[in-house]
Amino acid sequence: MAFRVTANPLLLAGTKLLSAVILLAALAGVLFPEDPFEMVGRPFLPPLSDGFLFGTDTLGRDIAAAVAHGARVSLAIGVITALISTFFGVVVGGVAGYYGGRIDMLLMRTTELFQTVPAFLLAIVVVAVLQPSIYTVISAIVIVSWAPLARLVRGEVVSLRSREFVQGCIALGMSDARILFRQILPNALPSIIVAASVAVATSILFESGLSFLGLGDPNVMSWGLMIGIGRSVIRTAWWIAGIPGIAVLITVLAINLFGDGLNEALNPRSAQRNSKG
Amino acid sequence: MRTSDEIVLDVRGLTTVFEVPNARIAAVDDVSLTVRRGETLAIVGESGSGKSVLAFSIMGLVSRPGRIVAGQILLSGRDLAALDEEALRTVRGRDLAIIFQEPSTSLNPLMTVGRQVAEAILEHEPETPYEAAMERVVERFRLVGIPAPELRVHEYPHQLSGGMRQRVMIAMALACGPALLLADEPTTALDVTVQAQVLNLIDNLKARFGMAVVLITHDLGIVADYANRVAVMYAGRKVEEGPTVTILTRPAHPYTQALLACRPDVLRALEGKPLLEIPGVVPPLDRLPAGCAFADRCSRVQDICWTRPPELTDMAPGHRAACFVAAMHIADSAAS
Repeated sequence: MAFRVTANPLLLAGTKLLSAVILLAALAGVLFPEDPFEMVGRPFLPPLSDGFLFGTDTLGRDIAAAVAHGARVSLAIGVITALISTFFGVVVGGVAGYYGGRIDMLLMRTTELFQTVPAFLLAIVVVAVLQPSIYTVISAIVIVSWAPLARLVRGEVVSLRSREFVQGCIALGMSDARILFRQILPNALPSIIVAASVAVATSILFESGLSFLGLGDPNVMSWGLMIGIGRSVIRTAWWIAGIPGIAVLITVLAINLFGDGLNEALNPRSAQRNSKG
Repeated sequence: MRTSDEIVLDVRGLTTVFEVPNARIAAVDDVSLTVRRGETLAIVGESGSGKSVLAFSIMGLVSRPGRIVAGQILLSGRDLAALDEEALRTVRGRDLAIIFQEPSTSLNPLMTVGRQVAEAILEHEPETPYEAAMERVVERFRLVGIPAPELRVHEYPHQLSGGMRQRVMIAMALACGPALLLADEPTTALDVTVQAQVLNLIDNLKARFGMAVVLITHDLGIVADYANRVAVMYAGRKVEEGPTVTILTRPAHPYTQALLACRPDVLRALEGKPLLEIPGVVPPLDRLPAGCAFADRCSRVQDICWTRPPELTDMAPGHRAACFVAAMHIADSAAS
């Protein structure tokens, strides 16, 4: 999988932006050692106030510190939910695509059931029923985001299943699990990686949306929670909701650019198209 | 080459059908074969004659809507047709192996070739340590004539030429020392110059491992050089079988005769004569005529040919053909 990052402007921009966000998350404890829930100044200080780069919120908490610590939470939620969704997607899609027939039918109808319900509404219902906490938020996002991944993996597996080298493995008497996990899935990996990276971005948006509606974990400083806090005062103190909003925007944009760039880099067909155009 | 009397593969009355809506197609119809240790049996026929389905049936690789409906496949006395999928899996790759026609797509592009062959060994001998399996891979690579095998095992399929990839496929097939090797047009996708190398290799390895080989091909030149016996298939049935020399020099079935006449001949071409062809095509298997399937293309067709399918009749010891005309001919010469 040799490709040059520099040859792909999308991937380059995405990687740079994403690295900045990851760096911010990694350095949050060094830059802002105190608890982001700590009230450290006067409430409603606008951005660029003395000592507070992004100002303070309704309770006098440092927004810059909250954004940095929130980056950790948002990225962690994004990555964890994407990993779990991908795991379920790979298992369900892999089994459905490999075995086909009735198993395929059953599993695909199930994924369709999940796909036909509006995702965000389903997530709201799940969190509302289970009480908001970091775990229920993660579960809710996984429940609404594994289905498209399962369909993608199934499609890849169905096409790889008919390839001759897979037939050869069957002819050599290899077990189904060995063929699926060692022979087929590695070949489907580029598409899975791209879809998983986009799932990270969607998960962050879901978490922000849920927190905005007051369905996030109130004990965890996420960007969504900050936007939720600033919602009621958005006309008098725009920055309280606006700055974490911009953070979400930048991060989701970065991950999407990264995912699209990765798709172009890993997909030989799109690479050809670009060099011609 | 001398062959022993030990029968490795004994196929009896094998019938494989494909059940599709409104039709039941017998791609292999009541075919019987035997192959002995150290022997090469060539299966010859046009596209659609059922020779590949026959090979897939023996491997137990026929998938829906195809199904083996009758017959036995005795491999060293054990009926593969009666085994369930799990039992069959342990036999495949260990006791019988297959080489496909297309070496470029038969290897996983993301795995080193050595690793792929090692996977085959580890599947059947899970107690073998990885290093030992890898050593055996290097030894097998050397055996199939891959230069610098200890380096080649770390390369990916795209780094190898077509001939080298086919050697890797052969090494993979031989990894566990099978009793029977099925080669489904193993050289069709290769250059003519590489064809002979690969076929000689299979021939040498056959002697070394004491295997039985079933060589599926449409190239009669290959048959002459490498097969001990030949079975000719037409429309899912075996129409003629016999020793290679007999089939190539005194074929009894009009189809075999036509097939031999159709061989591209460089000298004929230089004289400006067109290539011969058999008129017509293999009939669709779901609309076979009541009589001999070859009747409408046969130059020596008689009235009886349209009435019922001919049965295999002895022409000479070990030489049988399914043809009314040939059978009458033999009967006449025996009477006179």
